[in-house]
Amino acid sequence: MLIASAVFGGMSDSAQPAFASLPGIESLIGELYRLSGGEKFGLTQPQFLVIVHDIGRKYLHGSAGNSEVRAFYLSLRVEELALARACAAGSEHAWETFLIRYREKLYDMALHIAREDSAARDLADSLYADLYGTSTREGQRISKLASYTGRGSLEGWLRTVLAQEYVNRYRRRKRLVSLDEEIEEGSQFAATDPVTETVVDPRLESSTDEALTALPAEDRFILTSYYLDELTLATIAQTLGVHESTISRKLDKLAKSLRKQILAGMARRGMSRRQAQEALETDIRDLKIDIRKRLSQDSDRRTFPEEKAKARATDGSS
Amino acid sequence: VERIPKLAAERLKAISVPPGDHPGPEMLAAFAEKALTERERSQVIQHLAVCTECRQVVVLAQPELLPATAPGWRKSVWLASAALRWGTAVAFVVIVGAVVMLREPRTAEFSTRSAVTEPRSVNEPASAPGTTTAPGSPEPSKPSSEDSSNGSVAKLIAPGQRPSSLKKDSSAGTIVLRKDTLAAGSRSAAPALPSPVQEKSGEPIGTEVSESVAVNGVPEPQPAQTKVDSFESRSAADGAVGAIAGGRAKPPLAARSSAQAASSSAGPQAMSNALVASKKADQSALFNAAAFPLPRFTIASDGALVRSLDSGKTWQRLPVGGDNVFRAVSANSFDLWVGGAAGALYHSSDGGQTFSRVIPSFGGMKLTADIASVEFVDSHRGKVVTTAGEVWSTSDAGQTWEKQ
Repeated sequence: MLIASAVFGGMSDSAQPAFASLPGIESLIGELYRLSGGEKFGLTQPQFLVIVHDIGRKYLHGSAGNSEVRAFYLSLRVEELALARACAAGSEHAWETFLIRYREKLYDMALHIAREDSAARDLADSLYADLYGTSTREGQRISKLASYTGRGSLEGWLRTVLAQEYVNRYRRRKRLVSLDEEIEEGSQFAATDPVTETVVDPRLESSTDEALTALPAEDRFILTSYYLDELTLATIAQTLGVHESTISRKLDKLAKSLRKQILAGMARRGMSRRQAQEALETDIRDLKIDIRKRLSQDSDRRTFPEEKAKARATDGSS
Repeated sequence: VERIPKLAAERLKAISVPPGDHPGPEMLAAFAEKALTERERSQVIQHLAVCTECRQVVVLAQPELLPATAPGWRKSVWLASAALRWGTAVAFVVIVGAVVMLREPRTAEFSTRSAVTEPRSVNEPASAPGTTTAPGSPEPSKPSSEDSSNGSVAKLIAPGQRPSSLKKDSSAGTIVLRKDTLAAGSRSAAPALPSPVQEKSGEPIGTEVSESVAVNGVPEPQPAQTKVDSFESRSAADGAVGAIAGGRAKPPLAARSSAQAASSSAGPQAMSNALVASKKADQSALFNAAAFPLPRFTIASDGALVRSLDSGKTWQRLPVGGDNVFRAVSANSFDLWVGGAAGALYHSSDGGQTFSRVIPSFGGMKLTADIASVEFVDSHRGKVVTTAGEVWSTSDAGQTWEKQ
């Protein structure tokens, strides 16, 4: 309890947000405290109140109305919130409960993410350390669980924290590897290809950028997920909570309208319909090839008379 | 799923610069569980649209749909076309199968024919090896007027684009030789066939030999030889029967009848030769029927330009203009160049209906020497070589010339 009061001690009544004084909110939080079962982990109602107000201040804007605030508080996973915060505060009982509930799961989640046993163990262990709180601030142990806010399940939060850690590690490793590779290959000194840079029509590029930035965020998310991240339709659908076929239809529609928008953009930039279509259909890489082909053709044509003449001369002499 | 232009994908990547602060794990988790308000959700999705890392986190953090399902990245883009590639493979197998099925009956037909003609050769034991030369020798040197151009072909040009016809004709220069060898004796019965056949044909002749030739002929279609052998079969038939009248509308039929005629009178060797030829004539008909024949041009032995409009079956002399002796012709479809003695160079772009004289000149010099060869790689670019070794080239269909 000592630790708990230390962790929650920074909050004073004066820090309470304006909506804390809205009618009925106090009793609502009292009700939520009972539901949370925080009492059995040694979490008091005032402590719980401070936590909840703190969360409210973080996510609710100052002018939020009564119903909005109520809906927000009611949406919190108070039971898991109480457990997490009690763990962060160092409650033995809370930790026992947490480990019973999540020890197995945590490893499975890590395996699901890392897809390899030793990496999964490594990932899960590092999360345990974070959850228990190895980092210290002013001599205090700070548990990562203290940042759980009850928005969404604790399990989902744990998975996300694991995934984030995994992505960070992967990125760090990739940076190191790619740096090593660059040094080995000397590619950090490589000159840029002058052909590529001069090839794309600036009007095409700006039209494309314009069309892409004009897209609603969700459409752009779908486009990037599918065309850049190469995610499956099922995964995109799961992320957005819609059916797979919805994503498939949407992608078709998006690709078509994107093409149309780019063409329209080029028309606004003074290109004829035909020019615009040609510019759009011609791929950058194709253009590069075309240029090479054209160059070689030109040289062919130039060498044609001499080469043939030589061949003829040798034929005649033999 | 519809594709987007590659440039769009590249720009999508290029303009996706994530802002410095990423949403915390609690926001991403709440987003995945639809626990965010509409406003919050749109903020998160705006970030996700430009931040690859946060998208990865969200995807990795997804609960498993099925126990065995790993987070769903498509294996690779080309795998999406797996169905297409398998489809191509299946289509290929089907086509090959169809071709084999189509060819099968022909072989069967042929073997029944050989079975039919076999008894005849058995019934005619009198036609011993020595006798085959007798009917064969006098005639081939005297080809029918129709086929005369074939016999005296110095060089046969095939304007057709199909390489098979080109090949066939390129070997046409050996026709005379073939006829000679045919006439020379029984050993030449199957000059185009591999050595085992030739060895056998030297042995005392019987049904066995004709069979072996026939059998060897079946699995060995030689498209390059087709034309030659059909000519051969005709001349052999000419020799055996006397003369088969012109105007053979259907070459395979003619060849077949000539094969039978040959077998009846010329003995087993000529017969087996004719059988092989008839088989090949069948194939030649198969090739020719598929395409509309382009005109063919060549120079007759007396220096006249001759043209065939029926893939070389009949030939007509073309009046070019003047009394010229031509030596070389070059044709691309209907575009025709013909050159000969004393710098005679003519061009026709309508397949030989009309000609115009072209006198190449360069730096005050004119082409007046005898032209030895004319070679045009397309309707514009070509060169003319004279017997004096001058090389004249043009790249504008004869408007201007360069001399080397």
